[in-house]
Amino acid sequence: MTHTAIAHSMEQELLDREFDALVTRYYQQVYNLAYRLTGNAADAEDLTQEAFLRAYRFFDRYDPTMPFMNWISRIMTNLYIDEYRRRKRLPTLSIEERFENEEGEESEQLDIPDPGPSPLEIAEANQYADAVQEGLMRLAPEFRTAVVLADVMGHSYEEIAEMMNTSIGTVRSRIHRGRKQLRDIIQKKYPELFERGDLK
Amino acid sequence: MNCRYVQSRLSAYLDMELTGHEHQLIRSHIENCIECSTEFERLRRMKHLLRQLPVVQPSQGPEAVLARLRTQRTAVSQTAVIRVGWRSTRWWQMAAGAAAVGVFLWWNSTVAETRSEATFAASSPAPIPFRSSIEPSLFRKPSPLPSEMFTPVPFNQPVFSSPILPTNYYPAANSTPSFEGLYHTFYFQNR
Repeated sequence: MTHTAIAHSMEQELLDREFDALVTRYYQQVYNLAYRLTGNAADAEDLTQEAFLRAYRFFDRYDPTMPFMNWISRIMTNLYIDEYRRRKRLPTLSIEERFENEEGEESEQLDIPDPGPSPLEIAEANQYADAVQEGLMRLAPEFRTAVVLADVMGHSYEEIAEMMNTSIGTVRSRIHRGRKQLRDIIQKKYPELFERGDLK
Repeated sequence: MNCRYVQSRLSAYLDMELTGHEHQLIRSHIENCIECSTEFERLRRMKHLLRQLPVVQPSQGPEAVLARLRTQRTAVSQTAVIRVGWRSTRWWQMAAGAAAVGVFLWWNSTVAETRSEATFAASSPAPIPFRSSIEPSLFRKPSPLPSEMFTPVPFNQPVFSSPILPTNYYPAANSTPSFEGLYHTFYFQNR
């Protein structure tokens, strides 16, 4: 074995250790994203493993100045959408489906768009987690991915656009329509959740 | 700015993803429009339901991933050893050598033979009797001349006085019949 080969082997060893550390550190977050996309533990574990293995294969292309979670989220979402298109077994709402606007009532004025959840909202969120997950699974995969990346993972539109290889305008549209569809699905099951009296 | 336009921007407004000017426009519209403010509030609730989803705990840790990575690395390193081995033995030089030997053998068995025969037959000033003293190639098995194929038998010669043929003219008992043997048998039987 030549000196170059030995140096290459040592470098590879260091990269392997670095990657193992990243797997250990981010496994839970990556699994959480996978679960919110797939909706069940078995598929989530498979997707997590495949995403890490693909990330390892292309680890030489990873830019260490960028967050690892963004990079692997991109790998996972592409993997997931490809796999979903291949299977096409889960029922979804059509992208073209139209939703009617609801009748409005008196509302309080808001100084900032997102003042944060109230304790009541947090309690309700836990109570309705299954309904939300079930509703997520009925969205088209592109909508579900955009909504999960934005609201569950907390990514910006720019980051999501980069992860999903699309424009910010498309991301904005997918998130908006995804949320509206999801809200309508949950509202059918729990109408009281979006009543005005309940909002105050 | 109508309600349809505002409502299409409500999620982006909620996520603080609009420019400063557009953000202000949407905000002032919501403050004065009951329908849009209600729609906005419902979207905000939806977002909070999503944001408050609990973090799902996996049933197993990263061990399965790490084990698969180890398996993959072992396979890759074995492939690398094979590659390095091939590189050190300079397989391409061996292949070139084998090709050269092959070309030499082929040339010797076909081209050289043809050339030597042509040379002896045509361009030699004093033709040496072909096959009588010189073999054109070491690799060529001499083939019998047409005159040696069989001894011609005069048509009017009686059967009993048929010439004694070379021993190799008669097929061995356990061999498959040759064309010459069959022809000869037929020839003498029908005389």
